[in-house]
Amino acid sequence: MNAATFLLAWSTGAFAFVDCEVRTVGGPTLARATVLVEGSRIRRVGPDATVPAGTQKISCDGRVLTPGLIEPDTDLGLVEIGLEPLSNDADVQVGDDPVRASLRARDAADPRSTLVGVARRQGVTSVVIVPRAGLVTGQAAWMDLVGVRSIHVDDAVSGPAGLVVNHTEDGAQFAGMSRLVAFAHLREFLDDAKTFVSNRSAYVRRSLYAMPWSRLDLEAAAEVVRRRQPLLVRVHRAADIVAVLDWARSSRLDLVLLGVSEGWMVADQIAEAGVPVVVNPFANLPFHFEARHARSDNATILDRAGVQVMLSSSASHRAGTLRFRAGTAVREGLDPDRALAAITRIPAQVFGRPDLGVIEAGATANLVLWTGDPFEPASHADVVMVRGEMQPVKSRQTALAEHHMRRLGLEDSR
Amino acid sequence: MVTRGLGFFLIGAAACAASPEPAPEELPDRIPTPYARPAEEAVLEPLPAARPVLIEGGTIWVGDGTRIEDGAVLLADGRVQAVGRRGQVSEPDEAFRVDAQGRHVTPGLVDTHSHMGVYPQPGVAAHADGNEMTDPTTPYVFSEHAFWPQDPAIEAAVAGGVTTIQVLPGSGNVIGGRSVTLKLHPRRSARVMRFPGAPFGLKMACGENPKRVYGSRGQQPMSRMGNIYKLREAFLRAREYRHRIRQYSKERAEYEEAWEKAQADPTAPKPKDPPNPPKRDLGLETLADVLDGEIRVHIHCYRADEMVQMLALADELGFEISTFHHAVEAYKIADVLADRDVHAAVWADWWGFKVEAYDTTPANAAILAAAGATPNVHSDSPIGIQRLSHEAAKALAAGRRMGLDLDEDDALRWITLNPAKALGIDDRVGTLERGKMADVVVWTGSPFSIYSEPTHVFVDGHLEYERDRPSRRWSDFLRGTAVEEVKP
Repeated sequence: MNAATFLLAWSTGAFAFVDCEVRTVGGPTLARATVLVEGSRIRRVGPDATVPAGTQKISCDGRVLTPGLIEPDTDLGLVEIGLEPLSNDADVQVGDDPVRASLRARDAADPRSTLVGVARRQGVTSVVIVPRAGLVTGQAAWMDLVGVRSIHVDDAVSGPAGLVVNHTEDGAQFAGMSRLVAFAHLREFLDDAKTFVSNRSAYVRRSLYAMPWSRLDLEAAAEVVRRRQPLLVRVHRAADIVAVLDWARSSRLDLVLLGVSEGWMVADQIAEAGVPVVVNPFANLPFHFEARHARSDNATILDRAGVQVMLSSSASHRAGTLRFRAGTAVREGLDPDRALAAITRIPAQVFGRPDLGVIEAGATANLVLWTGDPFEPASHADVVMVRGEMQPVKSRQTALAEHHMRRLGLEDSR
Repeated sequence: MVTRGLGFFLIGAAACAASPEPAPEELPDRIPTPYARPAEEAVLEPLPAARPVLIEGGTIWVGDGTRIEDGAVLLADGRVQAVGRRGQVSEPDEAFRVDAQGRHVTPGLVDTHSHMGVYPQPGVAAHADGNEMTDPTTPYVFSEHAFWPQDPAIEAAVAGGVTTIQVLPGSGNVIGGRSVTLKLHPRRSARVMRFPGAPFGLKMACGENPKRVYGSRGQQPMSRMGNIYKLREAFLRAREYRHRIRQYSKERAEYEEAWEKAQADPTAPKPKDPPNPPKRDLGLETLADVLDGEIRVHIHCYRADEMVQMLALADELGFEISTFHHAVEAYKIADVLADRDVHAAVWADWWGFKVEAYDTTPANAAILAAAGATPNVHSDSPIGIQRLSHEAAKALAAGRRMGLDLDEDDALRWITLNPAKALGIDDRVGTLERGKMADVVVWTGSPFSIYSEPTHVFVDGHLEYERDRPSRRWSDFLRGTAVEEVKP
C-alpha cells in the first residue's frame, strides 16, 4: 500500500486488490490474482477478474491476502482495564450464583474500545465474545472490529452466538468446589429448560414446579434445547470432556468445546461426536490439575483425528497474538492451511457466519493484506478491510509511540 | 560462633567489674560478618565435568552485533573455548559434535523476570510462594527459599532456549525480598542452581499492587504516597543500621589494635572491653547491602512518572537502581533512562490488565534502544518465557514499523547481553565469546521466526535439552503420567 491508498481509509465503494497471493481458505491459493470488492461484498475472485472503471486499485505486489482473522474465544469488548471492575463487564460480581444464562455479551460489548484497534492492527477483524464468570456464564456475542468512524460501528455487535458453560476448576468455584455439584446444576438447568420449552403456558400460569432459575435464564437455555444456539463448554480434563460429550449426546445439544487442554487424549471421541473445539496453542503447561496432560501439539493431534479445530488467544488485550499462536501450532505440526482455516473459515462456520472466513464471490469483504507470512512476527497487516470498508491500521498504541518518538526527537528513518 | 563470642564477652565483662584483668589470651569472636552474604555459601553439589562440545556449521549469532556464517563453537570445561569460522576452531577428537549446518546458534537466553519455582505449575494455592504479603516491606525473605525446582515450567523454558533466569518475589509488597539468579540445570534445589557469584537482587514495587494489597485491608500503604513513605522509612532505618554496623566495625578495629598491642607489650594499656555487636536485623542488613551496592535493585514500576519518583528516591536515600521491570511507559522517559544508565525490562505486548499498564506501545523496547537506553525483553510468565525470542521479534517488528532503524542483532541483545547487564553477569554470559560460560542454543532456523525452535540447549557445557529426546523429563510432577507415556 502506498501513501495514496491511506487516503482511501474510510471510503467504501469498489476496490480491486490486484496481483495478490490469495489464500481463499475455502479453495486453493491463487497466485497473482485479483479480488474485486463492491459495497460490503467480494464480487469476483480470480486471475482474470477484470477491474471496472472507477474502481480503486490496491496492488498487493504479489503479497499475501487472507480473510480477516477471527478470534473465537475472547472477552475483548467487555473489558477496557482488567483490574478496574467498572470498566470490566466480563468480571461479573453477583456473588456465587452458578447460573447466569441471561447475561448477554452483546448488551455491553463496546466496538469503540481501545482494544479493537490494537487487535485489528494484527489482522483480527472479528471476535466471539465469551462471558467467563460463573458456571453457566451467559451468552456469547459476535463483534466485527470496525473503526470508530465506520458506518458499521453501531451494528458491529450481534448475537447471541451460543450459551456458555464453564465446566472447569474455575467454574466449580461457583458450584461447591466440586464437579459433582457443577454437573448436577448443569443437568438440572438444561432439564428444566426442556420442561420450560414444552410447558411454557403452564410456566406462565405458575402451575409448573418451582425452578431455581430466572425466566430469562430459561429463555436462554431454551434456545440451546431447541438447537438454535450451540452450547459452548469450556472444559479441560479428559474425563470431563467425555462426560460433557455424553451429556450433550443424550440431551441432543449442539456442542462446541473451549480450552480442551487434555483434548488430545480423547481426540477420537471428540471427532466421533462431530464437536468442534477451540484450542490455545500456547497452553502447554499443567496450569491446574485439570490440565495435567496439556501439551504443545494438542491442536495437531485433534486435527489429525478429524476434529474441527479453531485456534484462540484466549486473551482480550492480546487477542492480536492470534496469528502467532497459529504459527506456533504450525511449528507443532499443524498443516499451515489448516492453521489459517482454524482462525478464519472454521470459526465463521461454527458460529453461523458462513459469509466470513473465506475469499470467494459473495462473501463479506473482510480482508487483510500482509507484508509477508501472516504468522511471522516480522510481517504485519498492511491493509485491513472490514465489510468492504478500509480500516485504519492504527491504534491508541501507535498514537502514543508517535507522540513520544517526536518528543524524544527520534526520526522515522523510512 | 555468635553465641560463643557473646558468652566470652559476658564473662569478660563480669570479670572486669571485679578487678582489672589482663587482656584475654584469645581474641573474642566478632559476629561472623556485619551482614550475612549468603551468595558466598559453598555450592553444595558441584556440576560434574562435561565432555567437550563442538558445534559445527550454521550461522553463529555472537551477540555483539556480529554473525559468523558457516561457523563453529567449541565448548569445554564449562566455558566457550573458541568461536570462529569452521576450520579455524580446533576439533578435539573426544568432542560431542553437533551438526548445525543450516541452523542458527545463539548465546543462551537470559530472562530478568521469572516467578518459576515460586509460583510453579500447577497454580494451586499450596504453590503460591512468591509473595510474603504479611508486611509491606519484607526485605528479609529470599525467593530461593521458596523455589521448587520440580516446576514443570522450567524444562519448557529451557526448550525455548533460556539458560539463566532471575527469580523474583512478587510485587505485593513495596519491598518484596531478595531475588536470585539461577542457571537452568535439572537439579534438586535452588541452592545448587545458583549462578555462581551473581549478585543478589532486591525486588521492590511501585504503584497499584502494594497499595491495593494493603489498602484493601485498611493498612499502609493505601496510596502511592504511602508506597513511597514505606520505602523512605525502610531505607532511613537501613542507613541508621549501617551506621551502627560501621560504628561497631570501627570500635572493634580499635579494640583489636589495642588487644594486639597488649599481647605484644605487657606494659601497654590494657584494652577496654570489646564493643557490643549490634543485634542482627535480617531485613536491614539486606537494605544496607543495597546501600553498599552489593545487592542490585529491581523495581516493578509501570508508569513513567513513578520511575522518575523512584530515581529521585534512590538519590535521596543513596542507592542505585539496576532495572525498572514491566516498564510499560519506559519509552516516555527513554532519554532519562539512557542518561541514568538504568535498564528497562519490558514486554512486547502485555497491556491493559490494570490502569498503570494502559499506556503501552509494542515499540517500547525499540524506542528505548533507539534512544540509547538498554531494554531487555522479560517474560514474567511461564508461557512467555518459552518464546522470548518471538517476544523480541514482535518488539523489533513494532519498532521497525514505526520507522526505527534496528535489526535482529538489536533484538538478540534484548534477550541476551542486555538482561545479563541488568543482572550484573554480562562478563560471564550474554555473548558467545571465549571464556564466557558455555550457554549455547542451536536453533532450527532464525531464532526470530515463529517456526524456529531449539534443537540443543547447552548450559555450562551440559546438554540440558535435546529436541529429539523429549522424553528426558526434568520435573517429577510429570513423571509417570500419560503426557510422557502416550505417543499419539
